[in-house]
Amino acid sequence: MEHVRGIAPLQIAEPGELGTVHGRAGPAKWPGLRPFKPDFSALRDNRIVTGSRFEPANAAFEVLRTKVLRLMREYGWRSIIVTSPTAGCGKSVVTINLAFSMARMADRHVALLDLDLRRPSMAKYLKLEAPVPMEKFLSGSATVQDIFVSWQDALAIAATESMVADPTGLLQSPSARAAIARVHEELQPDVIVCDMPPVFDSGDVLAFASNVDCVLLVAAAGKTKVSEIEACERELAAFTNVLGVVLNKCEYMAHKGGY
Amino acid sequence: MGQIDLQFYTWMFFRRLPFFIVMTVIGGVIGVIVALSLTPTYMAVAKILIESPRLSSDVARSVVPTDTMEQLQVMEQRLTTRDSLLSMARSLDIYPDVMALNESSIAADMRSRTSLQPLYSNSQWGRSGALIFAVSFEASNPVLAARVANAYAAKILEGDAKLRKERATDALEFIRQDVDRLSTDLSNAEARISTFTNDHRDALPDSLEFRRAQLASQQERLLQIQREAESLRNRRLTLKQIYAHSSGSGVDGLTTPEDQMIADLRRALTEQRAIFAEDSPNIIALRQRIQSLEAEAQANRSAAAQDADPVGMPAELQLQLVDIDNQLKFLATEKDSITRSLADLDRTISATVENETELKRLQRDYETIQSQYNDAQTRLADATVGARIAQQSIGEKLTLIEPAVAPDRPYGPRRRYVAAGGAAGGFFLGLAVVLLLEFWRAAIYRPTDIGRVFKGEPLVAVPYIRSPTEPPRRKLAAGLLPAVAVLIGLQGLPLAERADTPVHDTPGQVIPVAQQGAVGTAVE
Repeated sequence: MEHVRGIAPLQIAEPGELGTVHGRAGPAKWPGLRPFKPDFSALRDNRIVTGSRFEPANAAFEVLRTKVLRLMREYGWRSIIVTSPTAGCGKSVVTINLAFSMARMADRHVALLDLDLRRPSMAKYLKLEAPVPMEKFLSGSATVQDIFVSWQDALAIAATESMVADPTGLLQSPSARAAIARVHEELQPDVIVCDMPPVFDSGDVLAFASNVDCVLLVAAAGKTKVSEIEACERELAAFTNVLGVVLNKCEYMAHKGGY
Repeated sequence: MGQIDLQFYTWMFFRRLPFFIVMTVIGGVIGVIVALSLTPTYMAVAKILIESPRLSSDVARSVVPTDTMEQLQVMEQRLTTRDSLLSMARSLDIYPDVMALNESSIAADMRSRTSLQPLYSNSQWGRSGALIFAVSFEASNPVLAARVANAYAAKILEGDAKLRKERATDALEFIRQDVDRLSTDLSNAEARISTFTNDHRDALPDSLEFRRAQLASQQERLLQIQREAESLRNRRLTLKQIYAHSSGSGVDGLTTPEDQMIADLRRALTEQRAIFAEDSPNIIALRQRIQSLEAEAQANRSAAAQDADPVGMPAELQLQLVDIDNQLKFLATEKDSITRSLADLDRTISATVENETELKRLQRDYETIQSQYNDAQTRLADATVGARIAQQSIGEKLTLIEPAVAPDRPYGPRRRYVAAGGAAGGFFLGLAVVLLLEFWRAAIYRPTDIGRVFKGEPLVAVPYIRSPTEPPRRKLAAGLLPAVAVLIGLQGLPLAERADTPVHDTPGQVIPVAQQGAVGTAVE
């Protein structure tokens, strides 16, 4: 298999595409999950860029992935919320790209949950059909196998398309805590990544924060104010650990050129 | 963050460029509208030459000082006095609704529209090069502008000629008065000298030598008279003695007993003197005796002389004696007169020194006045020439070399400048708005901005991910630029037409139909 493994990606993948995850060996980790086979060139239109080697943003996500993973390992954290102070900062795009970037690492298993129950968008971004609502999973009436799909046996994705009447209450409920525990237990991912609504728009993040180890803030360049970041961090610090800030949509890069 | 990140601000500027361009265009359009709404003004210029004197300054010197710059400044000040401007405004009817405006604003407006400037400033009003200055006036009506400029020019020329003539006449008059005064002084001095010489005619230094010679001759004459008188008396005595001897009478002129006695006594006195002191009683007694005897002898002699009765003498002798007496009498009178004359001469000679000093003083005064008078006469001659030069206008003077004509093209407003100013104003307003907005928003643009609030830099800065479905910004800006260029081009056209083409129709005004269409929409 050794020689085949070296050649196989060239044969399978289109030039410039990262089609598969390398170095997967042994039995499938999540045999019960439905497979998800995304068309990355189509997802590129939705700004999902980790499928392409030549995307400048891809490099940024790789750096982000490395830093996040290093910090989480350092503190022994296993779950992370990605959120932003206000809407429109591109946190869902960052979340999906980060999750794919993590999953592309060898022997790395990632679970991705769309917990933005007010305006769920992950299914749309990934062009993924999600018949089972997240509400059912969080309330315990749907199983992991019902809601998660598997990409390359490295990334388990739980998207949703339906909205919820009382997201804050649901997220704060013990069943939600149990649902996260089930993910940890059944899928045994290295990292759980949750996409959540903006901090200032609702109490969802604060309600759910105690179920997760840390929070990653996404700020949009030219949109998010310094004061917002400050306020957001102050608010979150009372409930959970703030891992750091990602500056998204950055048009002005201090060091242009190079890699 | 210590130093200003120039690269960032440049980036920010280009990011906001479309906004700036839009603001600039808006400002430009406003500028164009304003420029077109302003009424055109016309500037008429009259040129005045400062003509050099036709006579060389060696030939005739003008009495009028010729500091041209100074004259020009004075001229400008006179021209722009409130009264002068108001009278000009009134006489030329520059403000038809003059009642609506107050006088101060009229004067100020006139002043702002009037200008008096040297031309060919490269000569810097130096002595070299022709000196020409332009007097100009701005008005909304070209004909009025020309009329006012010409009126100004006329006023300047008239004022200049009048000033020069006045100056020349005044100088002449002054110098003439000076000459008159000196002339009077001179005759007074003359009169004083002549009065003095008249008063001291006999004691003037001129005749001093003569009088000294006269004195010497008179003195000689006096001695001579004395000698003559002596000899006459001797003769007379001799005649009498001769007569006495011949007649044998006791008449002895020489040896009267008294005379004999006196002679004896004198001899005795001489002897006694050798023995006794001067104040001894013997000598004093002798002297008294001599004196009394002499007095007696004198009396006798005179009596004898009178008593010498000529009757007893021969006739011819008597005639001789009479003649001698007559001569003696004559000599005595002559002596008297000479003695008086000598006294007179002595007095006048001693007075002459004093008179000479006084006379010299008077003479000096006279000479001083004389030289002043001569100078004044020379100046009078110069002034007369200068006055004639001014009267006949052949000295330095101002000449109108080019009267103002009604200008064909408006001078202002500088529409392009107004429009450009509007555009610049729009741009800077845009800049200000952007700066204010950014300052107020305090949004994050750079990774370093986060460092200000969060510990350290952000984990990563994700570049903007462009979606193919999203219209790119750059293209938007690129699309704006030609539109802006077109707009600027459009606004340039009406300006060019309105500002630069002549007022009356010329072939140059024919412009392509397509452009005219564009112009029409922009203008109307």
